Formats: sequence, C-alpha cells, structure tokens
Amino acid sequence: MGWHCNQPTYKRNLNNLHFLFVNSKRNNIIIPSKGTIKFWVLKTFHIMGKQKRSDYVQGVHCMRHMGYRGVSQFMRKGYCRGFFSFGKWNGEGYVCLVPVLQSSLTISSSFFKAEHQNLIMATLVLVKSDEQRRFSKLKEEDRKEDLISELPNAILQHILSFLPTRDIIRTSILCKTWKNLWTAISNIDLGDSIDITKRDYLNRRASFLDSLERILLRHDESDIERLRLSFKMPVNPTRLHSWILVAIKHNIRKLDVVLPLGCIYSLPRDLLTCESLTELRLYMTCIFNPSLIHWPNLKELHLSQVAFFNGSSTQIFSSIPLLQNLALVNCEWENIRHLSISVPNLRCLLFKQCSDPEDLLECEILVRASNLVYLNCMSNFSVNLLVSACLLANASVDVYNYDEVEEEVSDRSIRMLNGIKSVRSLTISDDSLASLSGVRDFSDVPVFQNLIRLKIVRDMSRHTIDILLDLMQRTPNLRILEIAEGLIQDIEFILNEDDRNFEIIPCCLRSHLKVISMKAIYGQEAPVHLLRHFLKHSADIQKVVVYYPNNASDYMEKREEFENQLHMLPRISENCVIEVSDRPL
Amino acid sequence: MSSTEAKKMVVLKSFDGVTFEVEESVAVQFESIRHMFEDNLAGSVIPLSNIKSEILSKVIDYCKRHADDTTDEEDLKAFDADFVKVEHGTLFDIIRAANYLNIKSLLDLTCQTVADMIKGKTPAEIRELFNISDEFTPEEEEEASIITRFIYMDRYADC
Repeated sequence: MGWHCNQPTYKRNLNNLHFLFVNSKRNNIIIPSKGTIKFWVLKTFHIMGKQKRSDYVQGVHCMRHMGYRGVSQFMRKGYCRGFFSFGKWNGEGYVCLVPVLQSSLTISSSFFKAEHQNLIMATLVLVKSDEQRRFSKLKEEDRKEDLISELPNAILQHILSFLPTRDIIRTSILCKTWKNLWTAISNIDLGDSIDITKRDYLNRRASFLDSLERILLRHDESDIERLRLSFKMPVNPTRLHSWILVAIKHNIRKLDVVLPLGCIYSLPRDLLTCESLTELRLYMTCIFNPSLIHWPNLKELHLSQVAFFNGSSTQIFSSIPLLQNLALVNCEWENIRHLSISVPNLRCLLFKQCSDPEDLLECEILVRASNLVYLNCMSNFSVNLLVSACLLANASVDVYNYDEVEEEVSDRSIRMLNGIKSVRSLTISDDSLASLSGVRDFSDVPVFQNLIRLKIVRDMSRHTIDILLDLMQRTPNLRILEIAEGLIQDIEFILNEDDRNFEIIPCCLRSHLKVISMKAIYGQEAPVHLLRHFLKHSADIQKVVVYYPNNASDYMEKREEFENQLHMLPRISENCVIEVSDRPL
Repeated sequence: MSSTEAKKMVVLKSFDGVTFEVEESVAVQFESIRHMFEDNLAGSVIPLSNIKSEILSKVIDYCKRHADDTTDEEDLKAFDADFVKVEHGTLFDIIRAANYLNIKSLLDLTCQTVADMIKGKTPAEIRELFNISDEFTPEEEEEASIITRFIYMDRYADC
C-alpha cells in the first residue's frame, strides 16, 4: 500500500500504490507515463509532529528543488488551497499532489534527519474513480487563462515598481514572461540579514553574495534610479567596488551604502566624480577626500562615520553647487582644525558629533549658508560650529560639554547663537542652556528678533530655569514656550523657600507670550511655582497646557488637586485657558 | 458651479459601440486624449477603440468621483478600496485602460493593488493566484535557480 522511495524504483507498477515518498536528490524517478495515472492524491501531512492536519489541502505543486522547509512552509501557510493539474508535469521532477480526506498518515520524525533535507515528501495516493471525476472538473476550472502575463511589459514593470526588491526578484521564476522583467527595475534594495550562528554560514554567505552580484550584473541597459546596499556583516571591498561601479555605469541617481562599523573601506574614485548622482548616503567607515569630488547634480548628501582626509583645501563641499541637504554624523575630522563649509544653496543641515571627550580636538567648523532654513546641531563641542544664515526658520541646538572651561564654552555657545539669531523656531536642549552658565553679561547673547517658538528638550534643573529666563529676555517676540520634558525628578529636594521665587521677568511675558506648554510629573510642586511666575506676569497669555502623565493609581485624585492648584494661581490675563491632559504634548 | 451654467460635455465611444457623455471636467483626466476635445473638437465623438463599454463605464465612474471636489479624502479612499475589488480580468482591463488613457492616479491605484497581491508571496503562490504556468526548460530553470538561491537565503534569514 505505502511505499517510501529512496531508490530509483520507477519500474514498479504504481497503479495499486496508495502513497509514495520521493527523494528528490535522485532526480531520475520516473512515475509512470501520464496516460496511465491521471491523479496523485495527497492524504494528510504530518511533518515532525508540529504540522497540523491539512485537511483542506487541495493540491501542491512541488518543484524539484523544494526542500523540506519549503514544503512545510507551504503547508503551514495554508497555501495548498488550489488544485494544480499536471498538464505541465514532465514526469520527472514535478509531482502533483491532491488530497483525499480519508485516513491519515504520520511520517516519523526520524525520517527527517539532515540528509533528507532535500526530500520531497509527498504522500501520493491514487484517486478513486468518483474523486477523479471531481478533480477533472477542478482541472478544467484551473485551466483559466493567465491574464496577468498578457499585460504589456511596461505595465508589469510598473506593477513591480511598487514592490520591494526581494518580491520583485521572486517574480523572475514565475514563467518566461516574467523572467527578465526584473532586470529593468530602477529601484534596487539589496542587503543581508543572515545569522552568523547558522550552520554552514560562510558557504551560504559566499553563494548569497554571488547571486546578489548576478542580480546587479544582469541589469539591462536601462538606468538605475536608486541602489541601496545595506549589510550587517562586512563585505569584501573588491565586491563593493564592483557593485558601485555597476551602479555608476547605469547612471545611478540615488545611492545608499550601509556597512557595519569596524571595517575601513575606500570609495571608488569614479564615485567621487559621478555626474548622475543626485542623492548619496554613506553610512560606513571610509576615507573621504573632499578635494576630489565633482558632483554637479548632487542635492542631498549624508555622511556618517566618514573620515575626512585633510586635503589641500579646508573648504569642503563648495564643489557641489546644487547641494541642498547635508548631514554629517559622527564623521572623523582628524588633523583638521579649521574647516569651512560654504554652500550657497544649502537648505537643511544636520550636524551630529559625539566624540569621545578623551580625544577632543579643537576643530572649528564654519558653515556659511545664507539660504539655510533648517539646522539641527548636536555636538559636544569637540568641534566648534559657527553658522551664518539669514533665512533660518527652524533650528535645533543640542550642545553639551562638561569638562572644559566655562567661559570658553559660553563664548562658543554665544557665537553659535549669534549665527542663528534670525531663527523663527528654536529647539534647545537643557545642556545647551547649561553651557551658557559662564555668561557674565547676557547682553552678549544676541537678540532673537524673529523667534516665535522656543522649545526646551530634556528635563530642566533649577539652574537652567534661571538661564532660560535670562534667554527669554533676549526673545522679545516669543509667542509659544514649550518645556517638553518638564523639570528634573528631584527638583523638589533642591528647592528651598527662596528658590520658589523667580526674579527675572522676561520682557516677552508682558507683550507677546500666548501659549505655554509643559510637562509636569506626578507629585511635583515645582511646575506650579514656575507657572505661577509666568501667569503672574504674562499680560496676554491665552493658553496653558500641562501634560500630566498617568502613572499612579490615585492619579485622578492627584490630577484634580493639581488642576485646582493651577486654577487658583493669580493671573493678569483675563482669558487664559488652563488644560491638564494625560496625553503627551 | 451654478446649475444653470451649461457644462461642456464630451462624448466617448467604447470598442463595442456604446457611447458615454461625460462632463469635460471628468474627461480632462484622460491625459492622452485631452488634446482631442481641447482642440475644439467638443461635441464630436471620441472613439476609444480598445476599451470595452463595461470597463469604460468603470473608468468614467472613477474619474467622476475624483473630479468631485466635494468628496472628502476618507470617502475617496473607501471608494478606491471598493473600486479595485473586482475580478482579476476586470482589474487588468482597467489597468490597460488607465495606461491607454494615461490616468496616472488610476494606473497607480490598480498597479499597487496587483503589487499588494504579489507582495510576500512565494513564486508558487503567485503562480496559483494568477494561473501562471511555468514553462521553463531545465536550462532556464537552472539559471532561475541562481536567483532562487537569493530567495532561499532570504528565507533562511527569516527562519
């Protein structure tokens, strides 16, 4: 009745056979000619005990290369709902399975040892005559036309353009029509996610990279719009070069390369002069010589971990005339003391530098960008960023330093604020406020005439509240003040009687301030004191919003108490709304 | 637009001879034939010789809805989601029509729908879904298996 075929035993008469296992390692299994047996029927699948009975299985089309994993996935994903005729069955590598909902069959787990991984596990049973008729019907229905492959290639390619690369490449083995469609894809995203602990990792890795390379090399003559290479494990530099060169040959416009830290790469020289590039993002440790670059069309540049090689000029990026967005994240500036970034069209600049304080280097970076509208600067002052921009709409400043001389730090901060004094919306961190501690005379701090919105990030201390009030003396037109993270947890302990009173009354309170939003932590008194100060002196305030996070069982009670406290505060503005919410601002 | 104002109408004729009278504001979305009624040909019948009436009426429906400024975005989304719930054959015909008439939003909507059907499926699942039969010769299959390897590596990574 049942028969497990590990040997090529095709000469047997299979007409009375009820089920059959076929070992696909031996491809020469010949199941009797199509004329003799019309249908093979699958009974039930039990694989390694963890599969469910797939009573709904209606058909599987197993390919020669299908391993155990593949079969089990088919079963698990409920794939086997459709019926496959084997009109296309060539009698060799393909097996067609159809279910019979009768007795079940269990395959013992010992059967699935490593050497059987490539096994096609097929339980084949001959159909009884009535089922045969039923399936003949199904077979006719199944002969529906393949409508999708009749669509013009241009449309199919348009459909593919909505898919991730991995799905696009899968379509290449659908049939002849689809085989080469993917070679025209203009947006390619390749990368690894391989677990090094897996058995046979190195071999797999090599063959994986081979097939990946083939995907790139087989690209047709059309341009590549975008290529993203993102690897978690190191890649051989020679391979990387050849891939980038393929992209350049196809007039690459947007290139992203993400490589693990710890390996130092070089960039192909051709990339530095690639004229088609409009966007380039490099997240990799590599040596970069800015004096060689020629990117006439580049609009966006992100460099992370890139080491700047001190070439002859200290002016970098001036040779990128169209550059609009620039991000420099943790780049290496060794042996560079003065650097000037002068890009007339620059609109957005992101500068992040978190160097190890151990090897702080005095490096001054001067940014001249008269059209800058957005600046985000996060640095621990190992570099000194001087910005000059007139149209700045939005700036976020987070500079911090703990070790250096206070005056020096303050001087740098003031210089930086001077560069961005035209800003309309400023986000500043508590640490950046603290870096103004050394300022003796706040008249050195520029006046922010245009500043409408000021946001403080990270929780504030009593000390920085004073600095904030000082700073607000220099923001005459401020309308919105946000203290996003509130005050530090233990502010209560350091707040003695005197500290509850704030002396400075910023000028903007009397004139323009309309909205204050801040976070208050459950049980804190300090926010009430601060708000008292603001409400007492703000002539035209309209709205106070307090985010009071829900984190305790007696929250509602406390919140009511807190709300009452706020409503009791004396205020001079007549129509001020006070809201307390458990939702973040 | 006031109701008394005469709306400019365009007459379209499908492959099977059915004529549709549509407002110009709707027909302007048919990029590829736009010039035909803009060049003072309004009133004359524009033949669309490769679109069946059944499909054309759907396409006109879509464009009518999208020409209507009063529909809010949520409703339009719901309409779109409903619009693509049709049989594969119809969907592909709409794609062809959208391509021919060059209606970008409709082409993108329908192609996105097909892409969503393909997304995340194994080749065998896709074959089943669209009745694609594999006609590879063994040599071709060998070549394809290089690509498959990429897929399987991928899959190992997921397991």
